[in-house]
Amino acid sequence: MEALKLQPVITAFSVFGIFVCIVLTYYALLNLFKSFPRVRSKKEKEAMMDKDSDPHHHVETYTGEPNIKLFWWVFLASDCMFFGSLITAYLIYKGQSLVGPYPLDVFDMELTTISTFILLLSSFFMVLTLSSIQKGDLGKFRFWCFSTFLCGLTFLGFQVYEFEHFIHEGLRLKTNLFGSTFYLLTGTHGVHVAIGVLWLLGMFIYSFWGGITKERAIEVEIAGLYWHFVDVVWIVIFSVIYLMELPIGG
Amino acid sequence: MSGHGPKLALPKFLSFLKNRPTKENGLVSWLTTVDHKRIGILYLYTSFFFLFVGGIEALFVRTQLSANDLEIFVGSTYNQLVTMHATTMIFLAIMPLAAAFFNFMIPLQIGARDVAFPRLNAFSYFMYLAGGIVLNASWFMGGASDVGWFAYAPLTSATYSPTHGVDFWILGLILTGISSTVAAINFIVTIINMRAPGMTLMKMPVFSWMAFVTAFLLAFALPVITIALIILFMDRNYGTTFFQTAAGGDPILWQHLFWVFGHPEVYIIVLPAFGIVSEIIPVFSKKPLFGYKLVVLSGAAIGFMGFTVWSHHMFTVGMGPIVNSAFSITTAAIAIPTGVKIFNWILTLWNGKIKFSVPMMYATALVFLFMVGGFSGLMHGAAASDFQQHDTYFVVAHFHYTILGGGLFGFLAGTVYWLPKFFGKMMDEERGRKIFWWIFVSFNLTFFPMHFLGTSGMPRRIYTYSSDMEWTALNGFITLASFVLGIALLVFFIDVIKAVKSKNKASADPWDARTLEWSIPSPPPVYNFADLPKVEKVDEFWESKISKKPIKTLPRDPHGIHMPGKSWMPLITSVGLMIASFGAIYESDLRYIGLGIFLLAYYGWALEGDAEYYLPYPKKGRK
Amino acid sequence: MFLDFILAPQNWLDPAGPVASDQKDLFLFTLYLCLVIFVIVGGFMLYSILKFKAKPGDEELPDQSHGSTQLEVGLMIVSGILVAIIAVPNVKLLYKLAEPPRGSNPLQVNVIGHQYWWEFEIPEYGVATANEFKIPVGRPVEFNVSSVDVIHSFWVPRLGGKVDAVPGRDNYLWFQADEEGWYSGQCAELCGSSHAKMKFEVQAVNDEDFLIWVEKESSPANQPATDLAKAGKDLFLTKMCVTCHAVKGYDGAIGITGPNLSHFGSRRKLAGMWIENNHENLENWLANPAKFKPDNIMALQGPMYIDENFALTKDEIEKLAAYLKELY
Repeated sequence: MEALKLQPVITAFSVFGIFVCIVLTYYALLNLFKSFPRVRSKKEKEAMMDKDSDPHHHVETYTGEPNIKLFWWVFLASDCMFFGSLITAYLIYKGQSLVGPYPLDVFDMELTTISTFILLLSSFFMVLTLSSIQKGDLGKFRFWCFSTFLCGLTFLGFQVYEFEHFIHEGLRLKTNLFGSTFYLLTGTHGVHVAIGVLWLLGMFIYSFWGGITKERAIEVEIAGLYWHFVDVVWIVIFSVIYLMELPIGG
Repeated sequence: MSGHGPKLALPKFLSFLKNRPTKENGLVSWLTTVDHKRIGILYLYTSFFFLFVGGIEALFVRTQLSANDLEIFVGSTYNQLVTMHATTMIFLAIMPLAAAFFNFMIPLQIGARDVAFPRLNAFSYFMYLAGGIVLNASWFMGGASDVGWFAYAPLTSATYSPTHGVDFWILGLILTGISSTVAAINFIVTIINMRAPGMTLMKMPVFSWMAFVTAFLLAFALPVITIALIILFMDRNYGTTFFQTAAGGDPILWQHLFWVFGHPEVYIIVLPAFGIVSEIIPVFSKKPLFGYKLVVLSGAAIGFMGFTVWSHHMFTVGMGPIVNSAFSITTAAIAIPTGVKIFNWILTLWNGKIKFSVPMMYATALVFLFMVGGFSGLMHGAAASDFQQHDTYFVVAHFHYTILGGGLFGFLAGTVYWLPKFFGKMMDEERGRKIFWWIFVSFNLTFFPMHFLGTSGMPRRIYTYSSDMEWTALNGFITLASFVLGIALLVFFIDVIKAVKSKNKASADPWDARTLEWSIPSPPPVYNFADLPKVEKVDEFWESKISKKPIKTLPRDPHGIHMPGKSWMPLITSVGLMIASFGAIYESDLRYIGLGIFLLAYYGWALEGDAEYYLPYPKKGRK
Repeated sequence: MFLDFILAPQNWLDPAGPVASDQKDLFLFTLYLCLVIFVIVGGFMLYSILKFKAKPGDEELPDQSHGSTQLEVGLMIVSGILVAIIAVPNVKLLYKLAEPPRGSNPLQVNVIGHQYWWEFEIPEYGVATANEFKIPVGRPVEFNVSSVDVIHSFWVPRLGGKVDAVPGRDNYLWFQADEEGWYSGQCAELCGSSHAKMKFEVQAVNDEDFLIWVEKESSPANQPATDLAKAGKDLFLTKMCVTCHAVKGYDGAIGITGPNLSHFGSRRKLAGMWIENNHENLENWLANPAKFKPDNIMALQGPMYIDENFALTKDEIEKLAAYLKELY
């Protein structure tokens, strides 16, 4: 009897998992969109103030949103231009390398699909992390926060493994245009993930010092904002770099 | 940074972070300040300093060009002077001058006590200083960058620029880029979220509006050049192939990335100056700004359209007639919103009662000078004839008219106009007039002849020329005029110092002006407004003066006036990144040490919290 | 004295061919349009400043008009029309400049930029030379422009606008000289330390003279006649000049790093068209090229300047100069 081939099974699970995660992430973003910065009516603001149990709270912002949330929205918009330039450079040089290895020589689509699924799963966990602390459940917060952290760390592990494999195949930064653009784009993304992973770890540890509270859930919310952004960027990168290499119908 | 809340939760070994610096005077108070007013003053002095550094570089350039076949500064030395003159003026002098005014005036104009993120604000300043240090350290460490301020590849590659000059340039600009990006986001959040109640965006002063547009330009354009700088650094030092033709790379990619930043950059320089003019002209005509809405919208339009024209710097690169036509058309289109501003300024003057104080002189001069620069720009925009104008002194004339005539004159106007608010002193009116005329005349004598050098075929960035080119007489004249301009600007700055040190005392509203910053004392108390204002109309302060009704205010906070705490972290993080930059250039362990310092201070910043404190309100009726 | 620039050899407002002439016309058209607007708008402003000056002691406020949307929109429409007016001739000229007139039999010239000299090839006639070339009057010339190292820019102002010489890219330009004469050109993109010295010249001659020149340029180099020159020719080999310079008909002199010297002696100028090509200048150049062109490749890489074993004595320089001048 033929040995059961694990790879296609895992791939199928991952693809299904990706779809589930996209739905969940969409749901998460929808929640974020409900609190998208905009000018609120007086009623809305008063309602928000009541929800805020912090007796020290006294500064009312013009839009009703905390400054820090606005900051991150604008920063992420700026970061879009950052990644946009890198993706542009990649696309301009796509197919222009004079020597190999070429993308299909080195890509392991199944592996990257799995790691993508893991990253998207982490976004789902992030949503749960936020909703835990918004309900004031510190225990659940720690559980989901650590889970998100683990997923992020795993994704990074996959990236490191993948890079090592590529280097083994002869693809380095200076090998050709593909090497230069690929490593820089995915490397920059990887650095963003690493920063997020450190951030999650930091929050996890900080929760033991009483630093994460229901009243300051906004701090977890912005970590979530950053994490979902990093995830969305990965979806774009995955599509542009990996999926676009697949021959149509193949 | 994350909002107000319950006491800090820190383990014992980190509890030292709770002891925030409290000194009010002396060096330490300046190094740990988070007060937007002090930061504005730091920007003001530092940018004037770099203005003179860049000015000296310019005078060296002009000396070398004063006659044909001179050999005072030749070859690479000359190219270093030209490169650093431009880099210093743009990134270390003019942009930070705008930042000085943003910092000081925006919270005052919108009725706030400070910006949204005071420590981040201080960080921006120290990063700017760090970038300036790294850029200029190159002079003493093997030579500065000599590849021109736009650093075209492959001249910038390790092959053709083997020394470290370009690396210093790259890292210096990455540091200043971080400074400006972070500052831009800070101002965007401040303007969106901290306006006085009732001050809708369409009731906000024009200067703050132009700052708002500029901030978006910075936030979206700087990432692009940061990437360009990073990939250039990687090509030079890590063997990547982004601009290596042998590997299929395209040097033109650099040009695209650079100019996608580079063109919005010039609007980043000029829009704040336009904002200042839009403040000054109404005040000194005793009339509201004509067509406030369209002036604001045209500023936003210029900002947006600024992103659509970048390849007009690349007409000769061989992109073909379709692309060249497209960019010609988008370039010409920007003339329309710019025209709106100019017409509206003139229509504000029309039927007014004009007082020609010194700020007004600079402001009206700006309108004339920017028209000259704008028209030569329009002429460049016609790609077919730009093939002759490109890379000649015609372009040099154009951008000096727009950047100095349009930018610097606006900031000189702002300096005289707002000095009372910064320091509580007035500048001498009589001396100011004389200095204005010296600057105005010598400026025109320096740069107008450059148009003719350009049409007679003198290219840019040549360190010398032969006598049969017939450029000698004009160049000699321009050099003389440039020295007069340099001295005149120096005298201007000396006059600023004289005023700051003088004993005169400026009133809260010496110009009979229109916007909220004039409703508080000169200089303002550390908390700006004793009672935060509420706003109903544009130019609320003016309206309250006319109707003789005081400005409505918000109820007082029972805790007192809420102030942000001082901190060492902005300084330390900047020092860390500066050290890391030197490390990156020399590929030494310094980069890890620097990064380590940065990370430690970064965590300190995150954990130390806001540490806000409260000041008692002054008695009612007093400010 | 201040009006000297009108006589400048690179004055593109004094065009000598149809391309430069059309470009000048477009330039002047936009200039006059802008001048008119400047006078009108500037005049308006000047008038306002003078007429509406506040009289001392007058405390009354003027009419506090907030604006007139109608007026503003009207002015915007006028600006829009003016902007469109400029766009039309510009786009037309861009397409006209994209290629020479139909059926005009253009001459093909390849231009290759180097740090810091210009290489010219006329493939049709087998001409390969540097820094100086000739074209026939009244006939369009198409240039294929590229570079071997950094970006340069090929520009002969009185004949036409410039195009960049980009490594890895083939750019295109055409122009035509309608008057006989020498036309000065210059590199117009910063390319390094000696960017200022990267000049070239093109002479427009009648068809007959052009064919004579082409005949000479494509034929092998002269053999040296005098003893001094013969000794120089030997030195040309032993001092390693042949590794960088080509001389047609000289076995082994096929170097491509430096300019082709087959007919060097007939060139008007040397060192990037900077100084007259006479014995004294030539000897000074050979003694110390870096003095004329800082950081030029010959000074940085030539064995006779960096290796003591190959250094040139005054005597050797004299011989080499004699040889080069006889490469007529």
